[in-house]
Amino acid sequence: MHHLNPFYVKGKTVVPELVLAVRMLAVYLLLTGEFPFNGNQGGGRFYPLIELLDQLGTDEQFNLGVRLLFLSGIGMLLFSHYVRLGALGVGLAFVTGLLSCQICISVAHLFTGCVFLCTALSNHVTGTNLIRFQLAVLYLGADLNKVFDPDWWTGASMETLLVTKHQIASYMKAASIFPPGLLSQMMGIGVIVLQISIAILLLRRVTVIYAMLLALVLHLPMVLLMQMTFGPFLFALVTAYGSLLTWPQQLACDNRLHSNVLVKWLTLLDFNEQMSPCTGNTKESPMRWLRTGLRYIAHPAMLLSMTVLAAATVRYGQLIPLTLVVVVAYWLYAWPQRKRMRKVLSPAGL
Amino acid sequence: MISSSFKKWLPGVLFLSAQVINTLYELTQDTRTISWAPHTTQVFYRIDAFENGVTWDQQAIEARYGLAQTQWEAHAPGNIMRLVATVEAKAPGHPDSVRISYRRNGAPEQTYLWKASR
Repeated sequence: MHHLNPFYVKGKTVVPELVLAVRMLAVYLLLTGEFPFNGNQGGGRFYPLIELLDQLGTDEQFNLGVRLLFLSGIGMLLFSHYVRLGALGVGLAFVTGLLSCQICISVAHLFTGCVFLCTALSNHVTGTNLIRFQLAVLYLGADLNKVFDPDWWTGASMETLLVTKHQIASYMKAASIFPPGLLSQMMGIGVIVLQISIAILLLRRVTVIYAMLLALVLHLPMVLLMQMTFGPFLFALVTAYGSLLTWPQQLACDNRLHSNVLVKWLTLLDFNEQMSPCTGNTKESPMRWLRTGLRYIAHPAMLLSMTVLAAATVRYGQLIPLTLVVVVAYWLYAWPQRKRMRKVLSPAGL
Repeated sequence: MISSSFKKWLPGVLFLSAQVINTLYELTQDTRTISWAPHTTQVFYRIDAFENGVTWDQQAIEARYGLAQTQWEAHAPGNIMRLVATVEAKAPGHPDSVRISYRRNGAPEQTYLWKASR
């Protein structure tokens, strides 16, 4: 019965970090109405790239089948012990959607599907490492596509993206300070260097926090400049990177710092024996609530709230607050973990 | 013990290796399908279809190919050519010819022409 509870993340065939990541991503997809066929355009099967996918039923039957696979997968990973099976269903729905619709090709949706598929292929031996290597493959692939394209070295690609296509006024103003095309050329080469650096840093677990920092430098300016999250890509990235951080098995309360009331509420929603009670009566204050929120950010209820908040900011186009939250979360939660990662992995830590 | 650990890793390693091999393969093609090429190429295109010397209207073109007649494609010019070729191979009532005019990353315009073989 434990497993019917979406807040219960222990005792599965994959580590709690992955359970939380795919559950958050699944909730985000539902809240934002993202669907395997939601590529650039299109709403269903359209001249599939694989002949077999063209032969399976009528368009209506096929589209309904993919939608059922997607929704039943989400239901299974949220409300059952079978997280991997559910993730397999969602991942396959995404890949089937892409391969059965030529106008739906989208790296954002492919990556989202791959996060689910990597979870489906994970276990307690691989931990979260497949997600880490999936991220490395993403950056390596993206970099290879740029390295062999002269337009990324000359700046023509960035110039077309930011000036001709999106006509970003702030970028054009900054570019006017430099000789024509120079800023686009520097940006293009900078992206190539950043992406390969991230891929290399992801290969070792001890350097993951630094890979995250470079990823923030790479992705967040693009989100702000282009005013888009690239469909589910940004949130899929956040959950994938987030899964690489250690999920705390215990959350201790410090009654000098934390809010008694909030801790009591979170204890009511604690189904993983993660919380220890706060002793003594303390005065409540907004500062205590803030400190409690930050301290208990890894509580499943807090993570779900953050997911709802992220979906709401995307829904209402509030990308600046969303970006700030991501930066603050990284700074306060991920950055301090760099020392812990070194300690956990170092033989000297024995 | 080693064998058990190997088995646990194998499906994931094969899955990730397939992605790398596919990305390398697609680098040799002029299309990008499941390659990791996010917004790598900016292609501005226009599709025109002709029948008995008359140009099809915008609505007919967009309904047939599922794309805007004039738009940006963020993957590769080959993706539009592949789509037109697939539609004309499978859909009934095709035009006499289809012309795709496109500029890749602001380069001079290029043209792809599909012609009915009748």
